[in-house]
Amino acid sequence: MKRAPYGNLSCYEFLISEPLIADSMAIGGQTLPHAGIIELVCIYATMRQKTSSADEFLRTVFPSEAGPLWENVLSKHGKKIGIAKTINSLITHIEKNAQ
Amino acid sequence: MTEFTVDDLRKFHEREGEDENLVCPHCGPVFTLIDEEAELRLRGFIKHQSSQSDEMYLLAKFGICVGYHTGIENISPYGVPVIREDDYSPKLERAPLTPEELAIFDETIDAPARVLQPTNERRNFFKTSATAALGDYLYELDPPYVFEQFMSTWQEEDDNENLEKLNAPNEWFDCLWPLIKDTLDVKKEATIKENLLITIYLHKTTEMRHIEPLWLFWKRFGMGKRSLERAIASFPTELPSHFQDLFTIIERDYEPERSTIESLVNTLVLDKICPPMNGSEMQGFIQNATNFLGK
Repeated sequence: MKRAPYGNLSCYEFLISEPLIADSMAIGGQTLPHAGIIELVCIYATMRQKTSSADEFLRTVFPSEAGPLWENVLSKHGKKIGIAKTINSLITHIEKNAQ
Repeated sequence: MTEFTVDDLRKFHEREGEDENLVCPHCGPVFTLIDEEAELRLRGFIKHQSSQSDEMYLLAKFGICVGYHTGIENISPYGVPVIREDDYSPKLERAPLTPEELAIFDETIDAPARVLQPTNERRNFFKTSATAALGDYLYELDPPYVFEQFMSTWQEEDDNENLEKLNAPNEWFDCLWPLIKDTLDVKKEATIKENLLITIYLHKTTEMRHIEPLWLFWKRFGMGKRSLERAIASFPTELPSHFQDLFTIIERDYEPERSTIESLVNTLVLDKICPPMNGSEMQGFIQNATNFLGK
């Protein structure tokens, strides 16, 4: 993720190039930290190697119920990580393009 | 579960008549207190006025501050009655100290002065309130925090080092108290639990390097969307310095790496979101995830 290119940036740089957390998640004008989000992607990428539990994992951390909490917490940019198709494409891209 | 609200806390204070937190209207929370009747009388103050009270005395219900009040008009040269913290308006100005006065202040800084700190009773009360507010979810704090059944508060003067050795450095309330006392004045709409959880999240992420996405943490404590909105709204527009420091640290120090992946994997396994793994499986899993981060 830190080496695989995405345009002029690495995939990691691209992911953090915009805030991952919604502006509304701020106290005193400071947005709460985006801790754990990149790590989730890495953990899911590792779990994909065991297909049986990976899908369930993704549904648990990014549930598809109406108005889930994660959608409130994440910014428009960050929410893309919670979409199964997008996260899977991203991981495939990283695995293919790792230098 | 019934939550312990700020209103409950206020009622408790009213009912129990908890120790007042006092301030000098001019010096603020750090002031030099005199509150003994005889000493007060010598300076022309009394604590209680009765029909027989001499009108020459000024009322100082909680005592007086005998600090330096130079440049303030219409006050007694012998002191200023201290007031409740609730009635304190920091906008009251005082003239800046002259270099001579500053020198005197420096010389007398070791003199017995009352530095307003939350009392042990107040601290213990909040520990009880926070414990009640979290209910069974208190145990979700471990890890990264631990619970001590008994906390040692006894110490020789200037022996903080040994006290630290007696108590676990990650005892939950000890770690969080400096932040909690900054936000005791939780806005009415929010509960103590909601305010506390944001505080815990920031502290554990920053100081304990315990990494977890905000929404998973929030759900782990049985909380939903509305409570998160209320919790965020419960913080003041201008954050106390302890909180500012946390944001500075996270900005400077946080970057995903093996240790942050390890922290999250451990939490996810404990929370049964990841399947259970033995020691070597977990190390292999963490290594693979770290390798993916580095790819």
